[in-house]
Amino acid sequence: MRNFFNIQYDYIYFFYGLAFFFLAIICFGIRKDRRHGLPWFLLGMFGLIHGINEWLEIFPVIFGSSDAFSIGHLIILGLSYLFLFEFARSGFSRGGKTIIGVWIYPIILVLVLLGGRYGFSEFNIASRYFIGFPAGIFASLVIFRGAQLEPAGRKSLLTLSIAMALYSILAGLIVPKADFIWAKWLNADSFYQVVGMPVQLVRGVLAMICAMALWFFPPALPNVKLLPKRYTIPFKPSKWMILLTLTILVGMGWAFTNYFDYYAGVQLIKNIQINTNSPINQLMTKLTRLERIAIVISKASSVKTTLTTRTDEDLEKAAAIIEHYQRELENSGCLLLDNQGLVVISVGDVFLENKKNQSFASAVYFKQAMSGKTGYHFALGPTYNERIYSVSFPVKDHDGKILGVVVLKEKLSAARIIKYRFVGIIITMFVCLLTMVFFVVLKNRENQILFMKEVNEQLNSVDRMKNDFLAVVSHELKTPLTSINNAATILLRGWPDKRVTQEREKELLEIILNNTHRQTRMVKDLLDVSKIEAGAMSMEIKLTDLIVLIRETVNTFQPLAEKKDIKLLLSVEKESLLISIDPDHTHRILANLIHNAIKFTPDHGEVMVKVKEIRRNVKISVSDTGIGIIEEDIKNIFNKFYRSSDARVRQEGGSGLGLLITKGLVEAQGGKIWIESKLNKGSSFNFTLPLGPEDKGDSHA
Amino acid sequence: MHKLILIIEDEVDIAKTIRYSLEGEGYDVVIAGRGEEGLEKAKQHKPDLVILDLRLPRLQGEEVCKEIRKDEQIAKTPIIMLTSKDAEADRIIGKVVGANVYMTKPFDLDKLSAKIKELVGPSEGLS
Repeated sequence: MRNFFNIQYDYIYFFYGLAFFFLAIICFGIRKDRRHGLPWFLLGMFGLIHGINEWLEIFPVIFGSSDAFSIGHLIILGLSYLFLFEFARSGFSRGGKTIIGVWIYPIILVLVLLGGRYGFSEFNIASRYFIGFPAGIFASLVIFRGAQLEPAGRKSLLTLSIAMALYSILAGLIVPKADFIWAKWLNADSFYQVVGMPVQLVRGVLAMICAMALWFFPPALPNVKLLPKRYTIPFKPSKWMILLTLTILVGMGWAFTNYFDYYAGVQLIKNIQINTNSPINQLMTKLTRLERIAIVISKASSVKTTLTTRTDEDLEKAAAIIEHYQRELENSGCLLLDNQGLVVISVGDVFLENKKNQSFASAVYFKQAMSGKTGYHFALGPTYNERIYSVSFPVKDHDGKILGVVVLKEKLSAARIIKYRFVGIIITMFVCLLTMVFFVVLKNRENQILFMKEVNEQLNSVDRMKNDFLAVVSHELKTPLTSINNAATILLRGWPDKRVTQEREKELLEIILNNTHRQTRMVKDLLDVSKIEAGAMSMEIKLTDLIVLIRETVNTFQPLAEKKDIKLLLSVEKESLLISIDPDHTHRILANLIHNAIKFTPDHGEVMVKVKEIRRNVKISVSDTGIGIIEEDIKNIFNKFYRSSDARVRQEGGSGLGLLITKGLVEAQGGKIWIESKLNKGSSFNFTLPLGPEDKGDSHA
Repeated sequence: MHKLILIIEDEVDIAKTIRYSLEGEGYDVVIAGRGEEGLEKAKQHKPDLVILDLRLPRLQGEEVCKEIRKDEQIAKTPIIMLTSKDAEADRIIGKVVGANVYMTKPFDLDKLSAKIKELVGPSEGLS
């Protein structure tokens, strides 16, 4: 498994970078509506720069590293982490101001520079420990906070937060191995040993998770100028389809890249065309050189002797000869095999694992040599950018019988060949990026359409509400008119021989008067309701003695209460309470509640008004021993035009607006209103008014 | 024998004024304030005419109308529907559920009397 991953690092870096580009594209696609105050653009910059960083990492893997490269890489890496940190810092704001100021940056840079004193690779590690890790954790926390503040995007943001936290651990703490602080034992190598796969691969997967989490983040308002002309979504990719497509593309790219690699090797062996300028020819020159040396060695007499005698002395001599020639080459080794393919002599440090008596009988080049020809082989080396070229030549005795095989192996860094792999990666890169952009554009369009649909829905519902309102209002206004109209008609018909008595006449006139009043109230209430809804209710806040106000209101209702023999009582804690309220509105609230209480309490009942101070509020309750309120009504009683279906209530009439206005007046003063009730036992309407800091308990009485 | 008219209307004043008008013309009148009550009384008294308000709490006017039409004994009773809603839409509802006549509030009492005479004839005598 180790070897499998070892040679795939270039592709792993490609995938890692790709994931960050995906994240960046999605971040840039989140529109400017910063409802949560999270600066997604900055996260996108992090993704973009980090993606570039990871793609640049492919180069040293394929072509070998250089100092200039390392410095550049470090700067870019640091820059990407700074963006991540800035994302977290500006996202961590309350009321428009960031909580942690820009002063944090000098501190971080000092820490990183301190780390750099130990050496260059320590710089890298220091920037991961002191910028990368804190940035990632900070970002994770800020996103988590964002998830709490925005219920619609909770799932997405939570996933993003967790993935980001894991990423920051893996990128910020799992660093290249070094003697710096914890890097001794907690590093990429130890990770690989414990987990079995390279940390870069896991980081790439986490970055992909971050990107996908954001993909499903509910969009902010899209750019309205780009509205689609039709309201149908032509093709709507589901999240599984996107994942599947990307996985297939990345997988195919990987296979494609590896195939290129293999293909290049095969081409090398098959097409031995001499082209003076081609890089393959350079390799051919190397091969020819190897072949030459192999032939020379195979002709050496001591080599031939050794194959037959195998004495220690002969072996030593042969080994010396071989070493002499083999030393011409760098990074090479030589094997002397007998005609069964077993190792007789092994020289050179290239193949430390080739021991004596190891069998190479199955090796291609052995078989080729045994058939009398020169054998060639081209294979992958133990590390990524190495190739091993092998040339074999038979050792023949004077009769032409094959005694054994000389194998010369050379390790070459054939960068040019590996470029094929690189080409494979580049092609995959383009295809994947194009696909991602395609998906993001589609998603954006889908978002726009959904947004339009929502706007449409809202407009429709406003329209419906308007129609409902008109219907109800017209009904409420027409009803008293009907009664007035009818009563007047009957009166005007005259009564002599139709059965209309004087008593009845009086009743009809009362009907006219009452309904006129009813209509007047209705019109007034409607005007008040629209004022409250428009937020245009005029409020005149004055410092008022609440107890005095309540007492006055209660007194005005005494006569009405007495008519039904209802006891109207007032219970207070103190004789006086100064509070900043609108006295007219408060009077109206009380009047409405007390009037209702009296209306709905049968004769000989009781209505109690209680005033109590609770912490920062005054609580006023109007309780009665009346008919109570049915459950259905408790839910709806404050709604516009709501009329109870309870017959006992209906017969008292009413516009259905009174309590709505009362609630509006309570809330406009910063209070709350609620009901408690037991059917047939009584009800209690309670409301609070806030006590401001300047309100005193007592006034001078 | 006076003809009986059933008024199913929840607004007390409107019901009262219609009743006075009709009694003034000699009809006997029964009032019901709720749909269910109205249905019961219709089945019980078998009136010669029903005046029905479309907008009732709980059991709606349309339902009452349908129920009356379903019951064989009273299915043929002429029904006058009253409402203050939009004329067009409710005219259609009225037709669908089987009302004979449809009037929007505020209506002319004289017109109502005329319609009633049309449907059931004068208060006394045969229809």
